[in-house]
Amino acid sequence: MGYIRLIGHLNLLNLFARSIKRCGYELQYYGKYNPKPKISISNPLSLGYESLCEFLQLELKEKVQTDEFIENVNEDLPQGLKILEGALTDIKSLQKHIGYSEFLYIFPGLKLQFNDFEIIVRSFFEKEKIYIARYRKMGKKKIPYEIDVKPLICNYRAVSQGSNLQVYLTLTSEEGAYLNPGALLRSFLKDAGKDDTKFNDVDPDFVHILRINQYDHQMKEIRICDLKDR
Amino acid sequence: MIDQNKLYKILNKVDKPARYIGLEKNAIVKDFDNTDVNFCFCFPDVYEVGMSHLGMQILYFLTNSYDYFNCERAFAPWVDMENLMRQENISLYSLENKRPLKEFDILGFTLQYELSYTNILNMLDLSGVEKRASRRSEKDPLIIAGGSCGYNPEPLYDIFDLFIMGEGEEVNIELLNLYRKSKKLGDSKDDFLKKACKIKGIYVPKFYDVVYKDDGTIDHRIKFFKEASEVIEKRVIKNFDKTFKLTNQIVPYIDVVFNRTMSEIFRACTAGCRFCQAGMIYRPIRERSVSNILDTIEENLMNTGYDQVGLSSLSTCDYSHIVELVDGFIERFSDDNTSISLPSLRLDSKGFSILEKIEKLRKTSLTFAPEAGSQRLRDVINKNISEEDLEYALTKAFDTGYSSVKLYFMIGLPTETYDDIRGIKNISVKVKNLFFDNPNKNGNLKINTSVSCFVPKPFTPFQWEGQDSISEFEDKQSFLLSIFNDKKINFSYHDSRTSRIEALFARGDRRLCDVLIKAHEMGAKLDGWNKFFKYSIWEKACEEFGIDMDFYTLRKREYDEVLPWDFVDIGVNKKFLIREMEMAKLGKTTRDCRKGCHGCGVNERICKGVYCP
Repeated sequence: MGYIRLIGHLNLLNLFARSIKRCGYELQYYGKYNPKPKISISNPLSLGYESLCEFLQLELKEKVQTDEFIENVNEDLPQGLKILEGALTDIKSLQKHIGYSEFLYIFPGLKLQFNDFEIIVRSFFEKEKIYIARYRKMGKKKIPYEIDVKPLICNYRAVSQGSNLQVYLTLTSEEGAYLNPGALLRSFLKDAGKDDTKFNDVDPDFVHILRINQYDHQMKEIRICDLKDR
Repeated sequence: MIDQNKLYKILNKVDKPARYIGLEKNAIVKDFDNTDVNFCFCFPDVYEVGMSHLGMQILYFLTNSYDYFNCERAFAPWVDMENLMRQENISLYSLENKRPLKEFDILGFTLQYELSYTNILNMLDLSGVEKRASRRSEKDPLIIAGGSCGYNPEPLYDIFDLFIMGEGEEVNIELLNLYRKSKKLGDSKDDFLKKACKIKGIYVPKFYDVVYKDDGTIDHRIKFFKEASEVIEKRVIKNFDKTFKLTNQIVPYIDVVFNRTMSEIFRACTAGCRFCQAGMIYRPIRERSVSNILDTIEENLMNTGYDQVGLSSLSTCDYSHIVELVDGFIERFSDDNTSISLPSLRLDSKGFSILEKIEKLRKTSLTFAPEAGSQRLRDVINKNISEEDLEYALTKAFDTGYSSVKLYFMIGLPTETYDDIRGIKNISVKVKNLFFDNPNKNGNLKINTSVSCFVPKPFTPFQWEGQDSISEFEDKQSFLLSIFNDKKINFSYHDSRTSRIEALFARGDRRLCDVLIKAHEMGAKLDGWNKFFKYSIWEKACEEFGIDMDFYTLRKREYDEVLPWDFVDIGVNKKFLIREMEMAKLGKTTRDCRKGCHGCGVNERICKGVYCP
């Protein structure tokens, strides 16, 4: 994705809205005094992460030819952003149809035997409870606390790709049960540092976090045209 | 090119990284190594501020419309980014080609306000460019400046190789063309500067020196280069309707100060407020035609995808075809969810009739700037807004559902007394009563009364006046604090210390250049941001060079004193400014120049404006 990963969620929505407008399409606006276009992205990604699979839902004033629309908008979008496929749909909210996200951590520059790496990864993810740090706000004070996110982790797999060590992760990704892969990464690095000091030198900001795919509640691939509101 | 791997890494660590990546829609990336002249437009503040500056967008697209010129952009990084750049040894770079600024032929800074001066030095420092023009080598880029603060260029005389006075659309291109020729000829910097100073509007400070009297005032100026002119005349675009049209804008990825297309409707202002520099230096009034403006808006919307249009000028209502323009806008754009923003709208009956036309407009906050608390003092400063005007506007505003009001005032104006200051509270209370007495009121009343400190500016009738001392300002502020005890009115005031430094540089001379460089070395930067401004640094820097701040800020000047900026000709003559100052002393107003010419001189010396005889 390159630099485009550094655009925040709301800015990304603006970017798409403007791009669509530049291509001559009209978004449907709602609201009286400060009308806003109807456009949303499910499961917003944190700033700095990359993704191969995002779902964008929008409403246009007039019916369009999907392929032509995608072609035109893709031509206008900046490098690093591309609409892969699209379909007309009647569903109200895409978000409700998504159950899981698959992520990939890439650790550039981490020099470790793959076997050692795998053992450390396994010992972390096989723990009975996995805590991540959170903050609760009390007035202006931030009070730290920890929660167990083990139930939100469905799958993990350590791999070695070229010279990079990587971890594939499937996490639940639905309303009220969304696990941020960045928070989990910090927790992992802290824990792994106890087994091998090399992890202490890994800056969590320099680990690539990439969303590979999103699945429905049955952990199946999502095809927009097949989706129906129940 | 800078090390993109390093950059890629540090961008994960900074706040709002999209400030530093470029690649926005409509940004122009040219082949750096195969363009005749590489120019970098440097804005000495953060990205969000700079990207809302219309002048930069105009000059960017204008310059890039020539194949052989490449114009890129650079902004001041925020502290977190700056620290990482220094730590990782990354030079300040241009957003387009990610080139270190040192590789450019010319770096052009815009001078929008005095407190950004230290950012200029910091940007040069981050680029590894020597700050003093006198110490830079042939290899260093040419460092130039323009913009409203440049009308008194003297405090920056040893930082810039040259200054551009006035509007840039013509002179910038003339200068770049000359540079292109000079580069081909292999001219030295000096050769180039000797040619450049012959272009009208170009000031090369190294060709002059200043001799001071024993009392510290200026005795006379000396010229080192015979052919350089004594007086530098500002440049204006005579036919504003025919000049370069901005039909495209860079669309930032992140929210900036203004997230909309901007369309300039006219230049200058006829009100003649005596404290206002913009009201004098931009004269005369020149307008764009309605059809021209509407066409530009249409093209702009198509190219940017924005859904809001801002009309830009110093006073929207004073555009002679404003009703026609708003009607035309509604007819052409109201169907496609495009809204219009009318800043600087004076709320008289005409202003309201326009507001009513734009029904969809959100009932946000209304802003009034009476500037002074009493009619007497408003007459002194020639701010022609009466309490009846305010009453009319607010009654109408509250009738139509507005409930949030901002009031702007100044303290420290010439002839001010505590009665005038008390008036600031009285007006605020009056606004409150107007709301609660209004049977049609709606919503929750919010009044924000903001009081700033008067800074005397060059080229205004008040340019000879002294500024209040910090203790005088603070006494007035505590007085206001003690009388403002109303929950509905939120009272705030500006730090008098920042206003003092502004005043120091606004009317400063060459001797302040050392102070500025020293202050930067001692850590001054981002002075426009309260949390970074450190007054003690400036005190120490002044002390080191024996500079008495009071001499520049508190001192009242005589009319016959040679002022540091006297060699710049803005078209408005000194006689007019003196006459205005004398009228101020008598408490007499001068009517808007649309109602009759007062002979400021701009029509004879520069060009005629829309209302000039």
